[in-house]
Amino acid sequence: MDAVVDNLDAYRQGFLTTLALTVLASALALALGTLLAAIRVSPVPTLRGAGTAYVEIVRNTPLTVVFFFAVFVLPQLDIGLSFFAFAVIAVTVYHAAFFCEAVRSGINAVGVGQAEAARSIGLTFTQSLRLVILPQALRTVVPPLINVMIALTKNTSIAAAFGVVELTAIGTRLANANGDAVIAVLAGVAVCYLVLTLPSGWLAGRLERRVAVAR
Amino acid sequence: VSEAVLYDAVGPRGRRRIVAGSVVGLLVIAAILAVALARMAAKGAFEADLWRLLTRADVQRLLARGLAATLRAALLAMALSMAVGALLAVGRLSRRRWLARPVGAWVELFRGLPLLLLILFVFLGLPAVGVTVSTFWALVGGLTLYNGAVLGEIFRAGILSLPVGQTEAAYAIGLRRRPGAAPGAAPPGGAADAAGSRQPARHPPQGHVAGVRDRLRRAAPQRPQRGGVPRRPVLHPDLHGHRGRLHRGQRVAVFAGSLAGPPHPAPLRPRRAAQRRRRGGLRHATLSHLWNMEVPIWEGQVIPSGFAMFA
Repeated sequence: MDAVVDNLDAYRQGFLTTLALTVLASALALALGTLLAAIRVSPVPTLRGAGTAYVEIVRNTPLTVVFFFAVFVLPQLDIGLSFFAFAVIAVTVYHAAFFCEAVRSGINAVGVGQAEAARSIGLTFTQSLRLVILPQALRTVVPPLINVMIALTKNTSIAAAFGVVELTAIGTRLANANGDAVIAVLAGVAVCYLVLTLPSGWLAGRLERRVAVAR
Repeated sequence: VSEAVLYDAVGPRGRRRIVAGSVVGLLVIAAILAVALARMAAKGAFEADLWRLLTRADVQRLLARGLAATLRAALLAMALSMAVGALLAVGRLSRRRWLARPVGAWVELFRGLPLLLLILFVFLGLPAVGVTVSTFWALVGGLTLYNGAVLGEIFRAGILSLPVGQTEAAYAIGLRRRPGAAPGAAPPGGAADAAGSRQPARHPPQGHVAGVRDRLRRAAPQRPQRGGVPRRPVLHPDLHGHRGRLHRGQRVAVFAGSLAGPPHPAPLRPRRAAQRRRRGGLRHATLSHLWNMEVPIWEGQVIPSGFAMFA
């Protein structure tokens, strides 16, 4: 227990890093994912193909491999960034595909009449998507989006192996330094993660029930 | 919306624009790729020496061993987490709070933690309490903890998504909630009817079969044979006009629409339940039985005449 109390500052540091990574990557991935979803339903076949290819390739690649590319290949291209920035890129690129699929399922769930009405008053594809379809689609997929965010929060732990000093990295360091209190140290890390994931999970569940009632 | 509603078919001008845009886009991507490759080449990333590593036999063996270990860990973890997940799903669905609550907490806990942290927990935490684990088993253990919880929730969602009618139909033909719980031969309300009917007969169709059932039970062996279900075909008195022999594993369709009583049988008092367990009965109704509605028949089973069955 002392090992945890003595290192509260390290925990705080790790927690804040994980939180920053989660928030930044979630925002970027949600934006990129929504864009990808729009691309995947667009009238331009080339864009549709590119969007599909992106999603299929990224979804079938382990996040660790994406990290490898970000951390070891990007510097080869003279793109020198901090490990944290590489981690944000890797997590964003990976989860954008999942956000895209969630948003796309929302688009498919919006009633056909909505799209027909939008088209019939003369809105273009971009307008009807932006003003009519997407606002409704995003609202219906809030619970799945939160679930992707929870997965993203947990997946930021991979960054520990790529030079980012976040919660899991702090955990391994402290565990190695305090061989007699390994379980307490790791339990502290677990509590930090649960502080982030459990409330989000409950929120998703509540919202899901509300959506279920509304339909 | 299916995608085609969102836009009209593209005309000739639009098609030209699409082709032009695609060509430009591909050229831009090709240019970026070319720059990237040029930079990598400048750093010597394509030196033959670097890649010759892959042709070495020992490196290839190492890679093959790694692949085999990955597959072994994945298969083991899959099998284990499916089993764990099934148990967790059933546990969380239990009506016993002392079971459902802890199982729910377990699931939420392990679903909410990163896989990497769970692997570390097994790898670093178990040795701390005196159990040595190899890296391989730490990986399998972590994977099982995490995926067991995730699969448990998936299984639970699957069970919950079944129409209520399936459960009601299962209860109606006398199956219990728990597969091993030895249903005896009582459809809902049937127990009260057979026990001398202290309550008014809410299920008239069953009432008149009760006597027949008693005769059948006297004729039937008290304990079922190995496997739980007697192999002997059962004569059934009244099956909605269907008189005949029912065999084990016979396909039976049950419609619970006309179920008169409460959808769930009242919970049995402990002594009563123990009696039933002693008496034996169906022991192997599984989820797949419920899903396929392939319901084994056992001696003395009474099916209310409102339910249709066919062979």
